[in-house]
Amino acid sequence: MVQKGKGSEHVKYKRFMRKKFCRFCAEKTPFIDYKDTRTLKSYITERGKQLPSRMTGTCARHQRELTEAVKRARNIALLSFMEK
Amino acid sequence: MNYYENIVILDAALEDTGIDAAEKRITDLIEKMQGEVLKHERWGRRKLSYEINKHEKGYYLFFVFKAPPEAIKPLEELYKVFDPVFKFMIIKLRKKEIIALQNSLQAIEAKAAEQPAPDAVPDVAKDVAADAVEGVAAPSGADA
Repeated sequence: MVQKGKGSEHVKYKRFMRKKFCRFCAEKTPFIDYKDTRTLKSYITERGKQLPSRMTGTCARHQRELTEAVKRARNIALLSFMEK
Repeated sequence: MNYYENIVILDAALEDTGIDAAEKRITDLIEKMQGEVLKHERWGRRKLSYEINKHEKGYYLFFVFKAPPEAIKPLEELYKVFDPVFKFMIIKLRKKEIIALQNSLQAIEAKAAEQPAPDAVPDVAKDVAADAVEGVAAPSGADA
């Protein structure tokens, strides 16, 4: 870090963050089930919008699968499009 | 033959006999089209996440079946004109989902062999638990 003189100022403001990881990769989930609303709910906001992967740490592939699952669950009224 | 998963939402105000009749009509049509119902579950009356056609509650039926692709069109046509059904979704299963399904079917068979009379319809919670177990079991099988 000493070599990168620029970074030191930056580091001062950086809070400690635990490294994010993709839960589906870690657990080796074979596929993301749209019926499993309990899992899906942890990837949507209180308002019912999907969380971006930069917040959850989900990898690109699983984020795509997750999107499909959320859309399916919404279609069949297991999840809502918008929480009032 | 493809594997399909089908959720049907019936009017929650329907009597149990009406639900039986609706379920029979759906399974009959699938079998008529050379299909085979592999799994059927009743999730029961649930609150919908949003209002559909002024309905706040619905009776969920869940089917997994194997059928030729031509069978889907008539099934959708039926749902469109069948009064108790107000929402449905048919999904074609992909490879990984089919593998998980076959594992779960085998697990159910094994359980049935152990205990002669587990005729009770599994609820959603049980199903989710079973899925979790498969999630752990399946990758180890793939490695071997």
